Amino acid sequence: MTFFEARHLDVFFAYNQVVFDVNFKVEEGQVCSILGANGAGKTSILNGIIGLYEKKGQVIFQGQDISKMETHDIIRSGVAYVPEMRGTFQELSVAENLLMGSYLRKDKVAIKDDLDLVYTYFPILKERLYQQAGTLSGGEQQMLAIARTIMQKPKLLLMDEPSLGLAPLLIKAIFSSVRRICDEAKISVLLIEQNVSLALGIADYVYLIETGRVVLSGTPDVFKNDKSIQKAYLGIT
Amino acid sequence: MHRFLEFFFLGLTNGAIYASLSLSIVILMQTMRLPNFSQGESATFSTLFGSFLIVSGVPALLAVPMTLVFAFCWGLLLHRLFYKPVEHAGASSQLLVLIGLFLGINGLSGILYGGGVHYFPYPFPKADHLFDNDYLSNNQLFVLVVISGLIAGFTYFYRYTKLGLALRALAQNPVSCSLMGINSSRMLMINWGVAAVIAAVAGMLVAPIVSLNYNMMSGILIYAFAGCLLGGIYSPFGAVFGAISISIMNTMVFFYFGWLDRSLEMLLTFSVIVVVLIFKPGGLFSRKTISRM
Repeated sequence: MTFFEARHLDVFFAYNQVVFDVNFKVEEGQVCSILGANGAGKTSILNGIIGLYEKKGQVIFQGQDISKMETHDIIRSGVAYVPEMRGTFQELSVAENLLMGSYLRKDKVAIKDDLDLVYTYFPILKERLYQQAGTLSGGEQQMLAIARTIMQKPKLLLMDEPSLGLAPLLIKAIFSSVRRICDEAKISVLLIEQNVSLALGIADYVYLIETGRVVLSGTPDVFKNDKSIQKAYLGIT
Repeated sequence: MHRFLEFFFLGLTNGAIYASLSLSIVILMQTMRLPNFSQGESATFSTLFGSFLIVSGVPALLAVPMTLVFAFCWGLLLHRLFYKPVEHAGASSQLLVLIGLFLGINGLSGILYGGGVHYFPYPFPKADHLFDNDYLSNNQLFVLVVISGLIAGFTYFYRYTKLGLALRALAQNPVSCSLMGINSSRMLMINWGVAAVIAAVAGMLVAPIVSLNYNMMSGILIYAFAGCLLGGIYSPFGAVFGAISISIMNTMVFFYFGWLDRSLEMLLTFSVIVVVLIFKPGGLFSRKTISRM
C-alpha cells in the first residue's frame, strides 16, 4: 500500500498555477525532503496537499485519495502540518496550545504519555507551560508547533521551513528533534527546506524543485555528489 | 440615600441586560471579526416565540427553556442559511448580509407577530421587595442573579471546557484551528447558537420592562454596542463591564442633575465613548497582542 504519494500535482495560488505536474512519494518511517529556492513553490505544495490552496491531481495517503477532502478531514485522517509561521495560538498559553493539538483525541492516558514525551524533547516548554505562547521566542514557538503536532499523534508530519528566521544553534536542535520524532515517535516527515546542507543531513530521500517542477530526486548522497547542486546550493565551487 | 440606591440599582439592572446582549455580540465578533447587527433582533424573535408559548398556555417554567432551545437552533439556522454561503467572501459582502439579517429578522417578527404589544410576564409580582427594602425589587434582583449566573457560566465554559478552548483558538487563528482537525465552519455555527441563546436571555429579561413588540431591541442594541465599544470590542469581560458602566453612568447623571432632559442620555453616552476611544482606540480592555518572530 502506498503510504503517501502525490501524483501529477498542480497547485494554484491566487488563480495562478505555481506547481506543475509534481510527483513524489514519502515512504513510511522516513524523512523525505523537498528542497528549493525562494519562490520555487515549496510552500504551495504543502498548502495544496493540506487543502488550503486549490489543487489538481491525486494525493494518496495510506491507500486513500485525500485530494478532494477538506483540511480538517485530511488532518483527521492522520496528517499534521506545521505551517511556515508556525500557526501559534498567540494569546493561548503554551499548555492550551498543546491541548489544542490533542483536541480530537479521547485516549487520556496516551495523551499524558505523549505530553511527557514532548517534555523530554523540549524541556523548555515545560518551564513555559503557563506563559502566553505569543511571548515565546521564535525558536521556542517552532518547538511548540512541533510539540503540538506530536500531540496530534499523526502518521505523517508536513513541515514548512522549520529553520526560517532561527539562530543556527536552534536550527540544529530542531532538526535533530525532527529526526528523533521520525525514528522514535514513528511519525514520517515531509520536510520543506531552503537550507540544503541541513536537510541533506537528516533526510532519507530528497526532491529538488525549481519554479514549481521537480528537477532532481534521489538519496542525499546523489545530491552531495552532484556538481551542479554543490555549486548552486551548497556553496562548494 | 434610598433614592441614590434606587437609581444605582436601576442602572445596574438595565446595565446587566445590556451586558448580556453585548456579550452575545462580542463572542461572535471575536470569531467573525465583524459585528452581528442582527443579534438584538434574534433576541426579539426568540422572546416573541416565548411569549407565544406562554400566551398559548405553556407554563412559564417550561416555556423559558423551550425558548432557549429555540434560540440555539435559530442561531444555527441563521449561520447555515445566511452566513455560511458568504463565509469565504470579502468582509463587505459579509457585512451586507449581517445588515440584511438585521432588517430581515425585524421584518419577519413584524409579519409573524404583528405590530402590537405582546405579553411577557415578570418572574415575580411587580411590587415584591425582599426584606421590605424600597430600592431593589425582586424582579431586579432576579435579573441580577440570572445575568451573574450567565456570565459566570459563560466564563467557566469559555475558560475551562474543551469547546470553550476551541472557540478561543478559533478567535485567534482559524487556519490553525482547522490544522488541529477542527471543522472551523461548524465551530462558528455553534458560536452563533451560543450567542443567540445569550441574546434570548437578554430579550426575555427585558421584555416585561419595555413593551414587547418587534422593535423592542432597537434602543437596547445601541447601548449594547456602546458597551462593546467602551470595553473593547474583542473582550467579553470588557463588553460586560462597558455595558454596565454606561448604564450606571447614565442613571447617576440623572440622579445628580435631575433637571437634565432625558433625551440627552444618548449624547452623554456617546461623548464618553468618543473620549475613551481617543485615548484607548481598542476600548478599555483591549489587549496588546504580543507576537515574536
